Amino acid sequence: MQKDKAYYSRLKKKFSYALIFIALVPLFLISWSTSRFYQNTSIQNTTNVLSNAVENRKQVITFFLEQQKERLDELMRLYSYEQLRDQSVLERIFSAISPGSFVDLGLIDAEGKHISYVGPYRHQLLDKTFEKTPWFHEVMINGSYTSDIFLGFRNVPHFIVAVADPLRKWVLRATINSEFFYGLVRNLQTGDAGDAFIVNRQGEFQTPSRFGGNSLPIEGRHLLAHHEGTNVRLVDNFIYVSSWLKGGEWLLVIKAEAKGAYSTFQKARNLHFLAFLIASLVIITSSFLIVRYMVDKIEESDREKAIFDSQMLQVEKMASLGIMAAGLAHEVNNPLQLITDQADWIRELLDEEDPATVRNIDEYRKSAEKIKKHVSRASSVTHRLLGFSRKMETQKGAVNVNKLVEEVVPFVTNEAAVNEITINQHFQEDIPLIMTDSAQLQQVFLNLLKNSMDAIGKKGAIDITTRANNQNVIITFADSGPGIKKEVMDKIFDPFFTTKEPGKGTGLGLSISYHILQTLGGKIEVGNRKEGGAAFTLTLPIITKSTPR
Amino acid sequence: MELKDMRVLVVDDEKDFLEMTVKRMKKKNIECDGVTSGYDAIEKIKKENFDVVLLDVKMPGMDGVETLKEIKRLKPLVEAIMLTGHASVESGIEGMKLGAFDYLMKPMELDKIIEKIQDAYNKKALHEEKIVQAQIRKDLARPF
Repeated sequence: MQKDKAYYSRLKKKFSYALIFIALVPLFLISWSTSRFYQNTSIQNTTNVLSNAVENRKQVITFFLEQQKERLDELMRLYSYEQLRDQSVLERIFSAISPGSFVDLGLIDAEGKHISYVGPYRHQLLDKTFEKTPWFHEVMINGSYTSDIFLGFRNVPHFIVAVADPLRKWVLRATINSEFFYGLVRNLQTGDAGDAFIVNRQGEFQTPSRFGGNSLPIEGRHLLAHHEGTNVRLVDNFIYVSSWLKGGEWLLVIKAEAKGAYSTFQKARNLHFLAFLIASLVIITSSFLIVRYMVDKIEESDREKAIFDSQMLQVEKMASLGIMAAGLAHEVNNPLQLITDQADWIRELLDEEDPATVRNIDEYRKSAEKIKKHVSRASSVTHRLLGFSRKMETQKGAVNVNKLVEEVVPFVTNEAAVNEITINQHFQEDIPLIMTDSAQLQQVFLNLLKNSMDAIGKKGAIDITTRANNQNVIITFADSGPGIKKEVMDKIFDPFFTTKEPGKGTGLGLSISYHILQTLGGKIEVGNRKEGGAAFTLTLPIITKSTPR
Repeated sequence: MELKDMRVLVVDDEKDFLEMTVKRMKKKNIECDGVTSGYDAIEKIKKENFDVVLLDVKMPGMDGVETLKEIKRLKPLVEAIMLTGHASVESGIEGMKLGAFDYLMKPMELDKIIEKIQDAYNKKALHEEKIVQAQIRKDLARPF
C-alpha cells in the first residue's frame, strides 16, 4: 500500500504528542507536589519562628512586669511606713534605684491620700486622693496591681504598678517608663507591613501599632477571641500570632506578611519553575527529534518493503503465469494438431476430386491453406508460451557476454540497416565469464534488440553496453526511441501485454525474457534514459562454478 | 528400404487424432494401426510385430514414458517417436534416454511425422541388417 506524506506527518504528530505527554505529566506532578511541599514547609517555618518569638517575648514581658512588682515588694520589706513617709528617705531610695524603669514612686495611705512622692509630676499628683480610682480599689483587695496604660491625672500615657502592705494600711505605687516597655515589643515589628503590639481585653492598644489609633479596628477584633497558649491565624495574606499574657488581660500580637514569609519559598519556586521549563523544552525538542528520526526510518523501511513487495508480486505473478501458460499451451496444441490434420486431409481429398465436378474446388483449397496458416500462427504463440516452463539446468556453461552479443547482433543487422538503425557496442574488454545458459540469454538479447528496433521505427541508434562489478555482469540495451510511458512501465513484463499493432507482436518477448533472467538467477530492469529512449538493464551474477539447483 | 514393408503403431488417447493419422497413413500406403492407451499398445505389440511406434507422452493411466519402457523391454529393436503437446525438454530427454528415436512437438504436419517415422524405420532396418550380418558372420565362423 502506498502511504502519502500526510500519513507520516500524522504519525509524527501522534508519536510526538504521546511522547511529550508521557514525559511531561510525571514531571509536572513531581514539580507540583514538591512545590506544594515547599510552600507548606515555608509557612510552617515562618509560623514556628513567629510563635517562638511571641512565646519568648511573652516570657520577657511577664518577667519584666513581675520584676517591677518584685522591686516594690522588696522596698516594702526593707522599709517601714514611717521611714517611707519621710520625703527625703523616699527620694534617697528613688535615686538609689533610678535610673531604671520607674518614672516616679509614691506612698499612699489606706484612705488613698498621697503621703509622699518622688517624680516629675509632683504638683499634679501630691494631694490627689485615689480612694475612688479602680486601681486603688483593686490593690486594696488583691495586694498588688499592674494597670493598663492610661492618661491618668498627668495626661501622659503610662501604666502603674502598685503593691499594698499585707495589712492593707499603705500602698507603694510606681509609674513604669512606657518607652522602655514599648521597646520590648517594637523590635518584633518586621518588614514593611509587619506589626507587633499589645492590646487589652477591650481592644485598646497598650503599645503603639501600625494600625494607628487608640484601639484595634473592627477588622482586627477577631484577635481578641480567648485562646490558650499561642495562636496562629492566616487572614488576608497576613499571619497573626498571638498569646495572652498578664493573666489574660493583655494580648501580645505579632502580625507578619504572609508574602514575606513566602519569599524564600518563592525564590525556590522560581528556580523550580525555571528547571521545569528547561526540562520541558529538552523533552519536547528531543521528542520531536526522536520521533522525526523514527518516522523517517519507518518511512524508509516502508518504501523498501513496498519495492520488495512489488518485486515479489512480479515474481509470483510471473511464476503462476508461467505454469498457466505452459498448461494452456499444452491443451491448445492438441486441438491445433487436429485442426491442421483435418485441413491436410481435406486438401489431400480435394486432390483426388475432378475439378470439373467440384465447382468451388479452388476456394476449398484456399480455405484449407488459410486454416493451416492460422494454425501455424497460433502454434507459434503456444510454442513461445512453452518457453515459460523450460528448465535449463543441464545447459549451463561458461559464457562471455561480449562474444554472445557479437553472435546475436548479426541476426538483426540486415533489418537494422534497412531501417537506418546503428547498433553501437560498448564492451568492457576483460568482462568476467559467467555460468549461464547461452542459448536462453541469446534469446533475451534478440528479444531486446527486436523491441528496441520496433520502438525506434526508422533512424536511430541502439547502444549495447557491458560492464562488471564485484558480483554481477551488467548488460544494458538502450535505444533512441520514444521511451516507455509511465502507465505502461508496470505492465511491460506481463505476458500478452504489447503496445505493438495487433498481429505484430505476441506480447511475450519481454515476459519470457523476464522469466529467463529469473531462472538464470539474474534480473531485468527497465527505465527511461535522461536523454530519451528506453534502457533495459540485465544483471547476471558472476558464479564461477555451476551450482546444482 | 520400402515403406510398404513398414508397420507403424500410433498410440494416442485423442481419438480424432488417432483415426485421422491412421487413415491418412493408410492412404499413403503405410501399414498402420492405432490404439488409445498404453495398455492396449503393450498388448498389441506382444501379439504383432511393429517397426515404429508413434507415442503420445501425455496419456491418462499409463503415460508415454512408461509405455516406452515396457515396449523397449519387450522388443528392444522397435523404434519409438515421442509426440508431445508439451515441449518440455526434460520429458524429451527422458524419452531419448530410454531409447526413443526422437521427439516431436504438436502441432506437427503429418508429412514431417512420416519423415521422422521413415528415419526411425531406416535406423531400425540398418540395425536389423547389422544383426543379420553379425549372425551370418557368426554362423560362418562356426565350424561345421
